[in-house]
Amino acid sequence: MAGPGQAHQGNDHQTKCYDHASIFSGPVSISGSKGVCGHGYLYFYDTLLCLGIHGTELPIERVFDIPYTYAAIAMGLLTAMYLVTGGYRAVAITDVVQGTVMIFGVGVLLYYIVGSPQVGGLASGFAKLAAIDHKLVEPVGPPGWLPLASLVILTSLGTWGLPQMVQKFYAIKDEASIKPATIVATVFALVITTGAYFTGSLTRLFFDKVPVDPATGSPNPDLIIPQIMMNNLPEWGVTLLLLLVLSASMSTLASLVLVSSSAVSMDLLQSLFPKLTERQKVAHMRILCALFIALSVALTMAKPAIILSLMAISWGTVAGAFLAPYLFGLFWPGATAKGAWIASLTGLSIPLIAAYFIKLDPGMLPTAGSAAMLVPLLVLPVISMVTEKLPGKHLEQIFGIGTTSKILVKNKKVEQV
Amino acid sequence: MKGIFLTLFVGLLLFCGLYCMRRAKTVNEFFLGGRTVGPWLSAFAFGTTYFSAVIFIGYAGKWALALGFQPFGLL
Repeated sequence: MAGPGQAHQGNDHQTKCYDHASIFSGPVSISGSKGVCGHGYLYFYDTLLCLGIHGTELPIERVFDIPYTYAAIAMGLLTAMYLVTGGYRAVAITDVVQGTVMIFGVGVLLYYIVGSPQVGGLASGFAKLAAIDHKLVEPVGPPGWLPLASLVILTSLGTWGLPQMVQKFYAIKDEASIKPATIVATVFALVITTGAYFTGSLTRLFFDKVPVDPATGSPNPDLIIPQIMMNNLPEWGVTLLLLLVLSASMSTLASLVLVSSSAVSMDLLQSLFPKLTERQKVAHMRILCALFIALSVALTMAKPAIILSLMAISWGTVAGAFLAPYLFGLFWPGATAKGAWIASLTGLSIPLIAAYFIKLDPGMLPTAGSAAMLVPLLVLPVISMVTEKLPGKHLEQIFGIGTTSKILVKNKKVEQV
Repeated sequence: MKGIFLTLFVGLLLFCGLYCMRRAKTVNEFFLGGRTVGPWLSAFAFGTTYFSAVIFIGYAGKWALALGFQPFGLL
């Protein structure tokens, strides 16, 4: 699990970078064309927005017997209320509340699942799983290394490239806070992933095969956890898990919406209308936050086919488009505008080509997603070597005095070659 | 029981929003919490943003059923 520390360590110039532009300043300050980037990728963000709410429908409908439409609207309204009023600080404080609910929820879920008659305690659970198929308890299971490695790259490295994750680093108080934050976030991640995967691994003892959805008549893996919850937990536990699902969903949604609204208000609107007052800008952000939440609730309920299929690749696509420009933009003064753009477009196109032109097997999509993150890391330096450098004045502004002389030397070397 | 849990949860979230409202008057404050967000808040914000409901419902169901215990080898 990637701790949030690495991308931040040992430098202070991201602070300076921020002072010049918005969160999208990674690729944007390099490209010098503020706004286009954030706006252009917004479409993929919409699909990520759905990912925020996605997954709540079945537990709410089947387990808690609330019509999903009402629940989704209520969830959107609640998120909008604290996000629009309090901004990021409110989001962060509610995240502590929601994170605590998630930790307790996972504990309760594990306690009741491990203690259920189907599992009968930890040792007995492992023995029963091994009896079904010994490969299930081996470190590398049936599908092999490549899908697994891809999934790990996608889920860990991806956090460095996703704007809603990077935003947290711009907001943190100082460098000294990074270390304790890394530890807390890592422990939190370990608890949640262990809980989720542990539960998932034990589901084999509850179901021989994927349960069939009575509504559609086809097997649906999303039914597994809700059905186990319903059958094995007491009423208060089920309520806590409803709050867990809502918490997980709302916290992701709030952060995605906040960053989306910044892409429009800070990058697009500000470059179109540079004379806006501070009050107007904040008002715009608030309105945009509300609009984006409404949009994501509407999209989740309408479920257009294109959104559902884009959702599978949105994580890798967004992370792939931003990772290389962010990393090199922060740490390497030699990165150029063209290098950043071409790397970003490479990251954007790899999953799209894999999913729509080659029509890759869905099981291979994580591999395409991790390629979308790794390939641009090579593309950006290579293109930067052969394209026009950024003006020295701009670099001094971003990286501080003293960087330009080094760059000029580098430039000469490149030119001589 | 259900009612108490839900009311407490909703109440806390709404209170957070209102409590922070007077400190969200500029873009810097609204979007970045004035760049004064401490380690605990940042860590929870990072962690909860990362995990959506999908990990509990979708991935725990689908991935783990197919992959077994292998994700633990890499934790």
